[in-house]
Amino acid sequence: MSKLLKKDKLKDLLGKLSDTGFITYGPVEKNGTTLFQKVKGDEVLLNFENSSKPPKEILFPQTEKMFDLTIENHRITGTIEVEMPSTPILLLGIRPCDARAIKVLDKLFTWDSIDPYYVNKRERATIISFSCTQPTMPLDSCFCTSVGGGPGSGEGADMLWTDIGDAFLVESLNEKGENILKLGEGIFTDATGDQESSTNAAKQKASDAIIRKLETDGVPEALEAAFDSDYWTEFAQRCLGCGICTLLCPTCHCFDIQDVLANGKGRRERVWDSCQYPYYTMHASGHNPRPEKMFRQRNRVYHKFLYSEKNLGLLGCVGCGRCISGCPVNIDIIEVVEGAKEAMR
Amino acid sequence: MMDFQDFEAKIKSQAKQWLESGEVKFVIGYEKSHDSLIARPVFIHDAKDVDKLYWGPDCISNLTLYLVDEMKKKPKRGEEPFTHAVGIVVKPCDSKTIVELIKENMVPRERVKIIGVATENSINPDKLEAAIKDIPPGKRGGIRFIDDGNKNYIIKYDGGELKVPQEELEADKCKVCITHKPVIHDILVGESNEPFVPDEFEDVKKLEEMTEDQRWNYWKEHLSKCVRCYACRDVCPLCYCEECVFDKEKPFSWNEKSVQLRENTFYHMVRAMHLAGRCVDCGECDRVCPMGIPIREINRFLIKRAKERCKVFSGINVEDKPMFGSYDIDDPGEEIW
Amino acid sequence: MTEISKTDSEWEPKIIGFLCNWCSYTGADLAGTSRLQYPPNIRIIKVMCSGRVNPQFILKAFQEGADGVLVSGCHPGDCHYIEGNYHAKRKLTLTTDLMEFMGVDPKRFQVSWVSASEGKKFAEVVIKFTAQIKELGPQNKLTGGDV
Repeated sequence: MSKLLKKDKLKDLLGKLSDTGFITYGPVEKNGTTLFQKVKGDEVLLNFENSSKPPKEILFPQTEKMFDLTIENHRITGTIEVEMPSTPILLLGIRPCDARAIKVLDKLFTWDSIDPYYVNKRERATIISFSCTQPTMPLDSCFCTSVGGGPGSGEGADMLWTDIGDAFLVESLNEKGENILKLGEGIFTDATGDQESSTNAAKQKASDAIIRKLETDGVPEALEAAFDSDYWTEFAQRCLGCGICTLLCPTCHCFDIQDVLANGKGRRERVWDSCQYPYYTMHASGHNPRPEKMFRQRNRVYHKFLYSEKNLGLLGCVGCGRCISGCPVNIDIIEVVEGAKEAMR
Repeated sequence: MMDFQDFEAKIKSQAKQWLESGEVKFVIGYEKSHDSLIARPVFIHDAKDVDKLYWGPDCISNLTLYLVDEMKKKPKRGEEPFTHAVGIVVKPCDSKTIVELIKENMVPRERVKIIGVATENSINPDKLEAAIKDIPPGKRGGIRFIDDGNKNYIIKYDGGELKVPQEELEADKCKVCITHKPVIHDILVGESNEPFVPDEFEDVKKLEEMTEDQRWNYWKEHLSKCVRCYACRDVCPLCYCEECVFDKEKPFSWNEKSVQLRENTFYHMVRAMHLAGRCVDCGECDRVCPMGIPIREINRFLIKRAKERCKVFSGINVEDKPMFGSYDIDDPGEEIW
Repeated sequence: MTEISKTDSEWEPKIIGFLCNWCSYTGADLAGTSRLQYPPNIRIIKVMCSGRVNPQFILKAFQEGADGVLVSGCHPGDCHYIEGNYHAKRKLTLTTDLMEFMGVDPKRFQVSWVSASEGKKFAEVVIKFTAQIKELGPQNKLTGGDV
């Protein structure tokens, strides 16, 4: 049975969780931009447009130290492993699309070898999704319903909270969610059947409000056939070659590893990289297999809609629409994919 | 009053004429797709496609960037150098970029055919998004604008229209625009009777009045958000280096890839210095920033200082000397020991 | 080598000096051969001309932990390359302005004209600049220490 959390009780809940060691990340507003940051209680935004930078950065930070280097006499002599903490993390207010994106990251980081940095944080994390039933959502660029998600989808999350006015209807989806319910005993109350049905109606309404649609049937086949088509040159003409579409993508996961040596100290760190940058594929020989924007844009589309499904069994796009709304020159992934299908017909 | 439909028709017919006569290889202009809120760049290679061209106050992007890309293309070894011309549609602010590019010998004057369009203001996409909340979702894409002559836009969408005061939508850069007429053009479309208003740099002055630590905190807040997508660099038509210093890895990297305040500040300061006295305040860097960093303020500060110190004002006259390619014996330098 | 903590009372500023080959470097040489005393806080990098100093050299020096940066070249009109120092003047004064605008104390960056015969002036400039930086304390804004 579903539970209920009064909005004014949220602070109590976060306080109680923080007493048991939880570090909470939630959406806050900073200079007009929504960001996911460490929060205490009051500053959490409850009604927000989705953040411009996806919350994947909490589990997979843009810049992450892998280990320290010991340096003696200007030579690297060894490494010092970073501590793997065990404090639990709470990710509050993740949009359903971003929660689904975490499933893609889960698969990727445990695919052929286990990535200790990601897995450590992932195991500690409890994800609380907010359904997109608030008036600010869905956005014009949202298309999650076309790629298997929905504004009320709990996939990838441990709990799903739905805004019903002065309270949240709380659905726990697994043991991690049950744990939160247990820790917040006395703060959550039981929900009535009426509230449950109004939640379902709100979810349905939000789902109907999503206008952008992408027909994914036949996309992999079309892409397989379209690899050498002139179509790609045409649409990539106006691409700037910036990294917005990939850096803001909740499922993009490429990173670059570098050693930073300064002031007698050193560290190895990994930093998000983007397949849109010319140096991404540059070989040591100087040869670049993707020398032009067209190849790089094509790779992005193929990765999302073909390679990801082949390799991980999941579509690489969750329909959050960030690449559409963020693109300075309106390269619209729905239009591009539909166009590829059209070009192959 | 601006008759956008009329402008659009004139742009189309001029583009058609140039393409048919072979004077230009292609025309860079704006189109409006069904789903997009604002117009986007389009490349017309064939005279039969000119109907794609669009004009309206939502033609925001600075297209000269693509002009530079075309001019940078080199022929294969043994082939004749390229001489083809390119047609381009520009707003007054974009025309200043072309002046700057000609000054720096990036674009030969004879290789560009300019359709200059007089504009009084363009819109800010964020403000537009807020203003059209009343339009039902699904109908916000592909909207058209009409100037009603009383400083209002009539926004036409499928199934209705909406009246919005122009001032409410105006982009910040247009409020301090010094010319409503393209400074360089082959064909002029429309005309503007808006008076010339000198730029007083009020926004910059506000920052200058702060104390040093307030300014540092202001920039710290903003620059720590930067994700280093480099969109501000990639969109800038004056950032045309073959290899950017921030991409360079041999013999060493100037900047670590780590996204942290230290590297972000370095990036933004060096980027601004590279544009000092050259930037024409087209506002593209500011518009594309996904994290809302007021990049334009840094650029405008340097425009102001270049003007005060070195009497250099970019993008007005092709005969002017470029900022860093010239000097004046009387440049001030009181602080030098 | 032990790192001296920046809050230490024994803190000594690190100053990077970009000196032009023809005037200021020779001037520094003259200061040395004339046995003039000046603080050892300055680390000198020889460049062929003050016009060679790219603003990003200065910012990089600050980023890597310099507390002050000094650029020194020939007097206006004396440049070995005729006009290099005029170009330097334009660029470097604007860099000072930008530092100020970003909230970094512009007093940390100094340009000076020192000719080959001005060993005494070079020593004076270094003494004055070192004292100025000592007063300002450690620079931790551009190094990322101030987060």
